[in-house]
Amino acid sequence: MARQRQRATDPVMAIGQGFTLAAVILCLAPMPLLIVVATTANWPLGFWAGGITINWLREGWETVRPYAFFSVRLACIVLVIDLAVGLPAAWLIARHNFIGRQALVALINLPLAIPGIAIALALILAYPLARASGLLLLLGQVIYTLPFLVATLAPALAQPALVEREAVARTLGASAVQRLWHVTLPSIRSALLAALILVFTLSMGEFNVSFFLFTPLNKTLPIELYSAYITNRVEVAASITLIFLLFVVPAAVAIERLGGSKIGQA
Amino acid sequence: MLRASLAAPVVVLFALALIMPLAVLLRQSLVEEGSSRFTLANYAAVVTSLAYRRALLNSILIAFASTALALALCLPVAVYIERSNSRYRNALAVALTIPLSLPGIVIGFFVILLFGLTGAIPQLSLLLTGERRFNFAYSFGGMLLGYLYFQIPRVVLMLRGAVSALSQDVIDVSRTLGAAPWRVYLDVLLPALFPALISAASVSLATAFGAFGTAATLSRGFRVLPLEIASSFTESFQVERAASLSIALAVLTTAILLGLGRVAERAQQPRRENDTPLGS
Amino acid sequence: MTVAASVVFDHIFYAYAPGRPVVEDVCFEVQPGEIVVLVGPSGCGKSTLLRLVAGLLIPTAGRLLMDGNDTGALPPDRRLVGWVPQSYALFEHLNVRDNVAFGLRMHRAPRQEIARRVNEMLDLCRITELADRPVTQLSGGQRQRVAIARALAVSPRVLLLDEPLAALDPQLRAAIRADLQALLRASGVTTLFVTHDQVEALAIADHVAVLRAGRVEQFGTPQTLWQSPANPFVAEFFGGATVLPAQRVGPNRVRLAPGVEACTSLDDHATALHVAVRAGDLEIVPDGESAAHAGRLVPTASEFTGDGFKVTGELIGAGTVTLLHDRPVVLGHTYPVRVRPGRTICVVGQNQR
Repeated sequence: MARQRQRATDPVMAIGQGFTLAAVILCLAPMPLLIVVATTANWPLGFWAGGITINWLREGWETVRPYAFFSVRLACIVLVIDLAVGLPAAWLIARHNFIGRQALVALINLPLAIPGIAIALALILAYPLARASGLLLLLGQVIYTLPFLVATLAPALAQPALVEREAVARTLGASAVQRLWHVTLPSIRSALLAALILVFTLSMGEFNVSFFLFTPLNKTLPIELYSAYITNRVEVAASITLIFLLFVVPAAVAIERLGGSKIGQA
Repeated sequence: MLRASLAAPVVVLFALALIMPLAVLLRQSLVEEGSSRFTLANYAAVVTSLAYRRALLNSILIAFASTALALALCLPVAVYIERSNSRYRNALAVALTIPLSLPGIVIGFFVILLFGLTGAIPQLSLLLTGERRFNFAYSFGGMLLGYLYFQIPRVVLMLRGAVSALSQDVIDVSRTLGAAPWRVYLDVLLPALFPALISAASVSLATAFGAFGTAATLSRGFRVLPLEIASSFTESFQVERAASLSIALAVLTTAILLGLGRVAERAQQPRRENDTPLGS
Repeated sequence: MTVAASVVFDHIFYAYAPGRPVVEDVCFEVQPGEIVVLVGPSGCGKSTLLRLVAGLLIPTAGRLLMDGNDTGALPPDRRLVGWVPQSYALFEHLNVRDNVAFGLRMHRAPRQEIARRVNEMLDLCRITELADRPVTQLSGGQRQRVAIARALAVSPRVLLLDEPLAALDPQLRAAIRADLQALLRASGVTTLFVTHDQVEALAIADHVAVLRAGRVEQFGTPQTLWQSPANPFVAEFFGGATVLPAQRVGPNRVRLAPGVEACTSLDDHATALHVAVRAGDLEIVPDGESAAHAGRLVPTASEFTGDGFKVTGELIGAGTVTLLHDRPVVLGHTYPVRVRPGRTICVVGQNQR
């Protein structure tokens, strides 16, 4: 018997597919362009005009290297502080219901509602002397990234299945520390990893707060990126951007894979 | 007590690094320049100054325009990403979230690369037509594109959750009742996703109002509020003016988030207790 | 209402992917205005058949005819079928009236026509007093009626009901089933009704299709399927019977077990047969009657049904059977058992050993 393959395309999905392809093209198109510009000897004259070169990349790397490493160091410190402060808070929110819980959640989410520049300005006015040391930069980034960490960890800690497992472990004789180490942390492993990568990425890419709080000795990669956009040749700017993306995009892909992705910064 | 010690670090940190500074910011916005006498002059200037009023209008314009475009664009995208069985679905989903990790300045730079004076599109049009066209990176259009660029991944993410809760049966039934595909979007998907759309709109608007990096990179005359705050602080060092603008902006974004968030909650249909929750 | 359509399944195949068939070689006809029930265990493809008629799926091979016309790849919004999925899929953002009116709006009927038709449907389904209520406040039975009213409002050629009673409380099911049947008869629409409950199928259907693993095992009237099941599966699934091996001991006569002989409806000349034995076919020999040549039953379980007892036990020499008795039995005790006088056992196939 003749088998004709009559595949009915769902037109509702087809519309969605069309829009999705358009959106993806919009999101991805700059990437290859970035590579082209960064490797073109003389971009204003055209695509790869003057030849393909890696000189711009070399120059770009030389320019940003100290700032890239500074950003990485800063991100790591932010990560540690966030974890130390945010994990207990996430636990509290996830496991306990108490008067003021709503207020605590609102407090932790407050930085999301307030524009970064306002936070930065407030810090400068409150602690003008601390600005030079870079402490304000650190504080600003911690405040800004903490809500994301808590928002990623709290749901994972609140899972009824996990709570049940801890209860079973308790009946089997495990102490609080043992439960934490052997049951809780392994269970939230992927959420924990996602949260850490998220904080790292947000810190590496943070601009709005850093713009007012940086000092010549404490300059982050995005700040240097911005000055390249304003002052430098477009090929160098593209190279530095490419380097920046290398720090940030793989982590973003990892976050999506781990299933926890939150709102970044404008 | 356990609870207190768990909460203490975060409360202390926020009190010192956020609440107190905001209070200082508020106080600074209420004093006269150079002295410490109480005044509302700074806020009066916000309202009366032509430049600030224009900045506010511009902010409103670009925030609402980019949010509306993003919502219209991303609704079908979220529906497709969440419900499609295609092999490429995951890759597409990942591709759409990459811009989330990019700061506004990088997005602004992308717009410059594409549509700036030496941008790829103008260069292509020069080659093809002899005229340098689509050179709009530094205009309102360019900024709008930039804002749209960073809205898309956020909105898609926020809508995906709501889409996954939607029943395929409802979509199928509407088709058997005669709904053409575009009517399915208009009459079934849109109303069903309305609370999620409001929620996404609130976050989008708040983010757009507070966006600084993109504006800093692309603006050439289209002033928005964050730029005014920046310039009044770093250029003219009118701290009190900057403070009042900041407070005003912060109040605006918080009000949007809370207000629309409340609307979204109310728009959520109340469910009966023993509802028959059969999905397909 | 509208002219009810006939539906013909002409060698319908459907597979999600090559090598994963869901529906294979389905052939049967549905006459205009009749109720055909598709019954079978979970995963047998009955819901898929409904979706094929609705146009939500396209057959991989074969033709689906409505009123003699091949539906081909006609999209659902142009087929004029009413589809009621198991979840009812009401539009939560609309009230009852707007739900029922939805299809008419999509077909761009004039406003007055919509109002008139909606009221007609609300009356037919007896939900007029619920008209302005949001659907989120309705009970299961009410939702079902709204879903059906919505489907009927557009005067569909065929009505497709996917397990409409499964979501309801068991106590209400029988009453609602009677209501539903009356409603379907009154509207006169051709109906395809899917269920896994054979009691429903027996009660409602003009014709029944028993499905298993994507194939139609038998198609016929409920009486035919009950009295002459085509194979052991139909006898067991649809008739609730136990299939036992039996020996032919004469024309129209078989022996199930030592002492248990019966007349059969069909005379199959093979000696080793399968027969379908129902609960009402056997009985414990009443006190006072001769039990000398009877079979032996050892009960292993007994359920009180209200009207009597359903006894499950081992029929020595045959296997596990179920029968009805008016008094309690002692488990493990041996009882004399015979075929009820006047009952005929159906033969369902040969025993190929």
